[in-house]
Amino acid sequence: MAEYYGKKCMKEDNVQPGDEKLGRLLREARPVPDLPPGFQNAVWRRIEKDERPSVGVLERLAQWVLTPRLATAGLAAVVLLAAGAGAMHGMKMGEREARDKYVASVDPAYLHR
Amino acid sequence: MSRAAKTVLVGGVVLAAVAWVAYVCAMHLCARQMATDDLSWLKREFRLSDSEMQRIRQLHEGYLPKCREMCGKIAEKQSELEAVLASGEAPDVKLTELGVLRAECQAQMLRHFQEVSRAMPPEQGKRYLSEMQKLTLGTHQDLERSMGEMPASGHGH
Repeated sequence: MAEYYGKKCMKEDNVQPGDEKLGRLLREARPVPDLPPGFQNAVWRRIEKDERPSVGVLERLAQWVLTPRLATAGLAAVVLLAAGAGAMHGMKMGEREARDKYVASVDPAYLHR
Repeated sequence: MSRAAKTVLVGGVVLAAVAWVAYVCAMHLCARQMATDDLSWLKREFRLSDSEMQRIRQLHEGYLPKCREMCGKIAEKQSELEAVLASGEAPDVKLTELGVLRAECQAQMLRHFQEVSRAMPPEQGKRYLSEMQKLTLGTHQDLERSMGEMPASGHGH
């Protein structure tokens, strides 16, 4: 038994000169492909990304507020929407005011009712 | 409070303030634009032409002094009634006179509405007359109708 292990399992310890030849042959039979360009940088970027703390909603909103182009676009959209809503309300209100003005001009008691 | 929260808060406040100013300005501008003069509503609501408006303006301007005169008479009669009530005399005569004046005023107003409605295209004139009667006499009619529907115990007399 001991003789068997000595021969079969411990053979890496006593490398024979012929084994080197065999190893080269094996490496040539299974070639390792070259790494793509920038592989290492990409790996480091992914590691850094995972280590960076995640950005919360508030931080993201703050970033938007501080980005001039986004802030201007948002402000313009809000102003347009608000002015549109105001104009529609104003038209309704003005229509009623104009009607009341006319009726009050022909019936002065109308506004006191 | 974090820096991001402060930035968002300030941004939100600025946005809300700007939106409010835009809303209020647009609302007032449009409302003012709609009620330029006493007759602007008539022109829009009843889609009147310039010549129809010219005729209606004449009628309106002719009616206003009569209306003012009637208002003066009613106010005078009202003060007479108040004086009679203060002196403790019976107000019956003054109340009747005031009622007659008010009825004359309403009759004159209705005549004016009819004249104006005749200056409009027939369909619009009909709509105008009905709208004016509803707006000026409708309140009294609703009140009287609701009083008529009340049970005797709830009438208050």
